[in-house]
Amino acid sequence: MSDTATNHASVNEERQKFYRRVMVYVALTVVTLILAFPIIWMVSVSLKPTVETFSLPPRLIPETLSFDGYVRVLENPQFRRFLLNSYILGLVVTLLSLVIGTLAAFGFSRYRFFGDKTAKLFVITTQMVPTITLLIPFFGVIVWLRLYDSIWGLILTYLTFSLPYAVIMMNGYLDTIPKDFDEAATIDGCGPLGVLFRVLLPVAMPGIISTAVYTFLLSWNEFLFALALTRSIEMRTVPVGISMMVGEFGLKWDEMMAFSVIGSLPVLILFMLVQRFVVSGLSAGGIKG
Amino acid sequence: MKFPSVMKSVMAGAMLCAGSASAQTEIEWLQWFAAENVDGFYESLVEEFEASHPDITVKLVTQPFGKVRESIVTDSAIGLGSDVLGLNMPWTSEFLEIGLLEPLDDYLARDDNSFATADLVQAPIGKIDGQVWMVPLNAFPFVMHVNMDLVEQAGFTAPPTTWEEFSEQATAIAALGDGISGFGIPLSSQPPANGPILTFLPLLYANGGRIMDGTTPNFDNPKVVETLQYIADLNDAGALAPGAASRTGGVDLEEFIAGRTGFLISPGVHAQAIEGRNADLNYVAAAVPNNGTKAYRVHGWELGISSGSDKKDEAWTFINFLLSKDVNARVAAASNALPGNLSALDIVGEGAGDVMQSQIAILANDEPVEELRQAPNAVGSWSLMTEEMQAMLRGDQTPQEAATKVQSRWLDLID
Repeated sequence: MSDTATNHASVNEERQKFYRRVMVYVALTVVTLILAFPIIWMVSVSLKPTVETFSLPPRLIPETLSFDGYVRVLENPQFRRFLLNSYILGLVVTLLSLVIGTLAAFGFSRYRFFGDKTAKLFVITTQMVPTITLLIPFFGVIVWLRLYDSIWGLILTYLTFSLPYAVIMMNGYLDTIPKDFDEAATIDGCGPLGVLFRVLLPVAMPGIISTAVYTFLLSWNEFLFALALTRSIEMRTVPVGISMMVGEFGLKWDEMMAFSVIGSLPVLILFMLVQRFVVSGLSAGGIKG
Repeated sequence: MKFPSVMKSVMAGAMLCAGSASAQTEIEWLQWFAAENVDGFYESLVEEFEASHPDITVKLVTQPFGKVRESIVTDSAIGLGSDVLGLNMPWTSEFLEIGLLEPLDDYLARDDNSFATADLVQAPIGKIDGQVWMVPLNAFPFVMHVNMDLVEQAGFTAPPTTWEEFSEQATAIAALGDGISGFGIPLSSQPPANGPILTFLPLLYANGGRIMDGTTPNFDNPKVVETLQYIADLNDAGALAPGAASRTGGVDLEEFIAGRTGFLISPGVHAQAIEGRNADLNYVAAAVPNNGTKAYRVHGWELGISSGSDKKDEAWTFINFLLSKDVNARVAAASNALPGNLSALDIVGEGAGDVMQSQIAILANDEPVEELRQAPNAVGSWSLMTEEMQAMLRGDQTPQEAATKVQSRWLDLID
């Protein structure tokens, strides 16, 4: 093959690569815009007076920038209470899920005992039940336990959803860590918990973070059970608070969107901070789960 | 000897405290009003009641409007029912079927009530099965909100008063273009899918029609068909806002506020949202245009007592407080509504704006109509109306066919 022909082939290949890359970026941009549009619109509506929300033609950039929705929401002690409740719920459920889930996963991953496979299968099976079908039984149990309209009722409920996931995820992640680590630590004098906390958990940090993010998101976003299992305004969470802005006689669009933005911020910030760990944690947990 | 006497004092004090604590009865008030109103208004009302009734405390339970009906049913089923219930008249027959409500006749007959029964808005206290089941906290006559700028741009000087004028003005306003419509009819299937009761029923009543014959559905009568035909004609003339099948009551309101529709038929209480969100709108409220009958649909927030409550006397004491003239006037003013206790009308009317005055005039001159209170499966019925009216506006069926189908499907629903 002559040099000219080789150069042509090389140029063509470069060109094709370039076009492929452009097409990939165009496709990614389009998909990103489609996915991000509801969020962008949410922010846009939160920053304009309601009358502009329904103006024609619709405007993405507000003609009149208004922070009234944010001010009204943040000045209202009830909405601040909803935020506090959501934070407490999210943090407690996440912490408990991690502690209990990790210990259970450690057992499943490192020990063989009678019924271990059945127990693991049972844990996985709980994830297959549609949560809506559990609403009425949960309602009865929570009332019977006298936990109705209390934050502990919600914590207990959310734990039953997040724990199986935490166990499966952490079990999958711990399975990827060679048992040689345990043996080396044992030789060095570590007991079982020492092996877990001093050796395995630092290595399993991405799995812990991705599990923590999932459980936090679960309790932060959950609406149905939060609505059904609480009653007084002091026990409401952010999603229920947002739904309370849909009234009999219309919607407070700017307040609703402002509160939605405020409610989304912790999740967005959390996800941006730990995104790298979440991806690696999910993929590692998924391989051997 | 000193120690025992100190102990005695402590024990006596503790017993006194325990006695006073146990003498205080807590009642629960489930409602959605606090989520609709001025922030903190109902909380302050409860505080005021507790200050004047130290033996009763009130727990205010606020749910989003869309969840209250289900909450009342499910809470009651598991024995968590509230004592005082915020009610919506269309829920009545369903609640009576499952025995949720306590009859109020004996309470209304008491001598020490703060109001006269004759002064109450009458629609909610009409007897069903020979008894009264609810009392009105306030009342919202359905009115027609009018964008006067659009009316004037279309070449008219006053809001329409008859169907003919309404049709003429709505069509002329739609002809202005720029995304402007004459009138919106919200027929979204999205729950609560209550568009027909917001717009169709007020027009039907102003045409002298009804959908009930006593407690039996009677939807396929000539007046209903005539009203459906009128709506179909408005659609054919291009007067209706596009996308009726996906239009909710909320969107209907917001588009009116944004100046995109000339007319909005809805409860007078919407004036608060309209004036609050677009102070520049040149807007008036008027009676719904009629076709020979001056009648209006009346809606409101009602109060009842749960049949499962073991604190019914205390619950009535609280209701009695809410219906007292001064308190009821404040409740009405806070929601821009008419009072449930009409003796408070003079207080509400004092210094009230034009929109409130229009509502007072409608109340004084026109006939109030409320049929959904005694309608069987009222909530299911308006979903049927929504579906059949959608099909009619799509051109899939005639008004007569729509009316016949609603009637037969409604009867099937309650069989």
